[in-house]
Amino acid sequence: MIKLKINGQFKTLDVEPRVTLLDALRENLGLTGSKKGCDHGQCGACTVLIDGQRAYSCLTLAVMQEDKEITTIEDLAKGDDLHPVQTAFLKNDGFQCGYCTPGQICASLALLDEVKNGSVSYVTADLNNPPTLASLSETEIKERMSGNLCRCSAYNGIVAAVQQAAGQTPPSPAASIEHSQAG
Amino acid sequence: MNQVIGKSVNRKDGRAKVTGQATYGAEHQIPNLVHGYLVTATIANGSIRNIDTQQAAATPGVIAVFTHKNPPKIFKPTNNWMTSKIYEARLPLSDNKIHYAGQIVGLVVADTFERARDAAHQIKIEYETHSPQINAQKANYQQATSIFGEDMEYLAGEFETGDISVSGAATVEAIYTTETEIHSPMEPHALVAHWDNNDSVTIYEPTQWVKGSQRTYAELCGVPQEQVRIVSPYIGGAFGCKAFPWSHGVLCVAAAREIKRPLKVVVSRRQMTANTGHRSQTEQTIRLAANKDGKLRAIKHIAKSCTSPVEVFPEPCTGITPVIYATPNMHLKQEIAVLNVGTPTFMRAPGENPGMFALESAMDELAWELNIDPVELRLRNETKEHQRTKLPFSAKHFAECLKIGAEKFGWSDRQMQPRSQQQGELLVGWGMAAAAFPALRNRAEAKIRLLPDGIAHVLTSANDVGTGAYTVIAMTAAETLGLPVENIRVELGDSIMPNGGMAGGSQMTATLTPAVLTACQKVLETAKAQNAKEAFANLRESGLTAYEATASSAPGEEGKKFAFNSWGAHFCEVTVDEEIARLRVTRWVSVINIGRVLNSKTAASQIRGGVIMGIGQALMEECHFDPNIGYPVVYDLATYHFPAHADIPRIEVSFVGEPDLNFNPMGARGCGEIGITGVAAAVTNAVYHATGKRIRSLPITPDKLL
Repeated sequence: MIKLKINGQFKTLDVEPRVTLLDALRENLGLTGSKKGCDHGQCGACTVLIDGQRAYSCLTLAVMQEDKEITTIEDLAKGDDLHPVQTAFLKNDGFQCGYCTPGQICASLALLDEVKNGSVSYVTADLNNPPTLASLSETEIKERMSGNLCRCSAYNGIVAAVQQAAGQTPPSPAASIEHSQAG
Repeated sequence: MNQVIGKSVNRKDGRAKVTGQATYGAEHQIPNLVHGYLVTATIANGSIRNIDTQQAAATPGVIAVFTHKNPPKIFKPTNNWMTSKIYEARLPLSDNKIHYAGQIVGLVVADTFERARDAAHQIKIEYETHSPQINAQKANYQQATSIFGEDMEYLAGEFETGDISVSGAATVEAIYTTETEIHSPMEPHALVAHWDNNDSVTIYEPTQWVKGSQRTYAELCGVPQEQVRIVSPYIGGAFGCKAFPWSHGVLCVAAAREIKRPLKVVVSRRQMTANTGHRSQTEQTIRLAANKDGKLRAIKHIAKSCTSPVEVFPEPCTGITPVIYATPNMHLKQEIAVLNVGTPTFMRAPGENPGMFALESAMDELAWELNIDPVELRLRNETKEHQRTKLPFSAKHFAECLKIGAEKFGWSDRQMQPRSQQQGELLVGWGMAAAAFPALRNRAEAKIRLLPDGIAHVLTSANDVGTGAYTVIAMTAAETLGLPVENIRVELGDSIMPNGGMAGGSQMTATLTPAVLTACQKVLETAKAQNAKEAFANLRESGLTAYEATASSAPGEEGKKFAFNSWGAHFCEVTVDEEIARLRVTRWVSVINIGRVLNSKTAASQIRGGVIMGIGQALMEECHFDPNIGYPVVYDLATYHFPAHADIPRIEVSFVGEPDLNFNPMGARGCGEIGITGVAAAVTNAVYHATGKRIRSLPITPDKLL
C-alpha cells in the first residue's frame, strides 16, 4: 500500500512497485487527464507537476512519489473558472485532437515558473541575463516546450498561448480571409 | 448567412480538452476491466514452429493466453468497403504463418497491465525463418490493381497513339523518392470491448468512421449490427490510421467475448510502428516537356509503391497529376510490389502528397531550365478542366493563391540564381509549390432537438479527430437557427446516433454541415417558426419536451457537371548552414482556396497542421527496415522523428475565393489534407535556391546536403 498526495488529496492505493505514476493515475485512480502517448518519456503527453516541477509521469514509479505534491490537469481549473493557461490554449487554438494538451499545459505552467525563477535555456544568449516573462522570445518558448510533441502540430497556437499567459500579445490564431466570403 | 459562419470561434470541445475531461477510447472507466497485451512476431517471413505459453499462463494474474493454436472465434467479414472493411485482410491468429515483423501472434490477458505485459514477454516462440523481401529496389513490380475502380494506367494524346517520343524546347526527366512514413498519432491505438451476455457488445475505440466500424465488428462477431455499439467521442489524432478495425481490435473484441470480462488492449508505441499502418515508400519517374514559353507539351508520371502480403494498398500518386496543369499528352501509371512489411494505408493526402512532391519538384526544375519564374510557369499552365473527366472546375481560385501568396511572401524580391542570398554565414533559399486536393462529399444524417431550456442539441455519429467538427457543426446550427454558438450542444461519435459519415478524405465538414443545415430548417418547420426564438416560445406553449427533426444530405447531379477540387500555394524560406549541413525552415506563407471557410480559427489550424506534417516529411520522417530481420529500425517517438516546437516557424495562412455553392449548400470544401500537399516540394525547391543542390529523395537529411 502506498499513499500519494494528488491534487491536494491523499490517495491510498495498492500497486506493485513496477507501476508507473502515469499508470497509477490512469488505471488505479481514474485520473485519465494525463495521457499515455509513448510510455517512454519521449512525447511529453504524460507531463504532470511534482512539487511544482514538470515531470514525465511515465518515467517515474508511483512508489517513488510518496510525500510529494502531485498536480495533474484535473486540478487546474477552479470550478467553472479555467486557469489562465487553459484559457490561453483555448483562445489561441493551442490544440486540435487534444491528446497532448494536458501535458502541454502542465509544461507551460512549469515553464512560466521557471522563467520567473530566472532559469536559462540552450538558446539563452547571455546566461547572466535570463529572459523575463516580458522579454521571453518565441525561440525561447519553442526551445523550452520541445519536450512536448504535438502530431496535429498546433505548435503556433501553443507558443501563442504561452505568450498570452506570459502577459505578451500573441498574433491572431485565425487565418486572414482575403475575400468577402459572403454569398 | 454569415452571422457566425466564417468567424474565428473557439472550439466547442475545447473546455473538455484543456481540463482533461475529454475521454478517449481506452480511458472509459468500466468496472471489472482486465488488460490484454499483444505478443508480436520478431521475424518478418516464415512460420511459427512452436509456441510455448506454459510459463506465461502460470504467471500471477494471468487469465487467458490466445495464440493461433486457440484463437478466439472470429467470423470472416465481407471486407468489401461497402458492407465492412478491415485494414488487414488476414484475420489475426488465423494460422502459424508470419508475413511481416510485428505481426500479432498472441494476446495475453491478465488482471493488471503490468502482469499482462510481463507474461507476454515470457512466451517462447520457435520460428522457421525465411529471408524477408524488404528491399524496394529489388522488388518485383506489377501494374497496381485499383481500390475504387479507377484505371491504374492512363494514356492521352501522342502517348495514346504509341508515339512516346514527346519532346519540347525543354525537358525534365528525373526520379523522385519518398520514404516510408508513420502516422504516429499522439493517442496510441487502444480499445475497450465490453460484452453483455455474449450477444451484444460496446466498443470504446477511436475510429474515423463510427458506422463503418459498427458494421464491420458486427460481421466479425456474427451478430446483428444493432447489437454492436461504437463509442468514440474523442480521437487523439488519426491521419488515416484509425478508419477501420486493425487486427488488435478484432482480437480484443473476440477475446473479450470468450473471457466474459471487459477487456482493454493498448498497442505499445513500438508495436504501433510495425502493425498499425504507414505510408509506403515511393519511387516516381516524371518527365515533363515544354515549349519555350513554358506551356507543357507532355507529362509522364510513373509511380511505384509497396504493399504487404496481407493487404493490397497502392499509394495512388498519379491521381492528382491530371488536375493541376494542362497538357495535350499525358501518361500515368501506378505499379506495386509486395514486401514483408505491415499494411500500408491512407495517410494524410494519400497519393497526392508524394505525387505532388514529384510533380512540383519537376515543375521547379523546368522553371530553372526555361529561366521562367516558377509562379509564372504555373500560371501559364493552369487547366480549367479536370483532364481525365473533362469536367470544368467549380469555384477554382488557384491563380489567386499563387498571386496573393507571392505578394504576401515578397516573392518578387527573390534573386533568380541559386546561392545568391545569404544571411551571415547561412545560405538562404526561397521556394514555392502548388497545393491541390480533391473535394469529396458523401451522404450524412444529423438529428436536432430543440429543448425547453433554450438549447439546440445536435446529434450525429460523426466525429472530431481534431479537425474542429464539433465547432463547425455548432456554428452551422447557430447560423441557421439564429442562436449563439453557446446555446448549441453537440454530441458526436456514438453509433446509436444518425449516420454522420466518415472523417477521411477531407470530407467530414462538406458532408455533414449540409445535413445539419437541413435538419435545422426542418426543425423550424416542425415548430412552425421562423427562427429558434419563436420555436422555443411555441415549444413552451405546447408543453412538449422537445421539437425534433432528423435530416440527411447527399450529393446530387452536380458531380456530372463540375469537377470539385481545392487549391493552394506554399511559399517558404529555408536557411542552410553548409558546414554542418543544418537545414531550417524559417518562414512560411500558405494561401488556400477551399470554398467557404466556416471557422477561420480551426481551418487555419488544419492548414498549419498539414504544412508542419509536410515539413516533417521533407526534413526528417523516415522508417527504414532492417535488411536482415525486416523489423523497422525506428521503433518509437525518439527514433521516428517528427517536428517538435523548435523545428517550426510561424505558418501564415490565408484563404481566398468564394463559397463553392455548386458543391454543397454550405459552399464549403474540406481542409484536412490540402495543407500537406506540395509542402515537401516547396522545401526542396527552396533548398535548391539556397544551395544549388537538387534533392530528389526525401527526407533531406544532413548527409544529402554535405
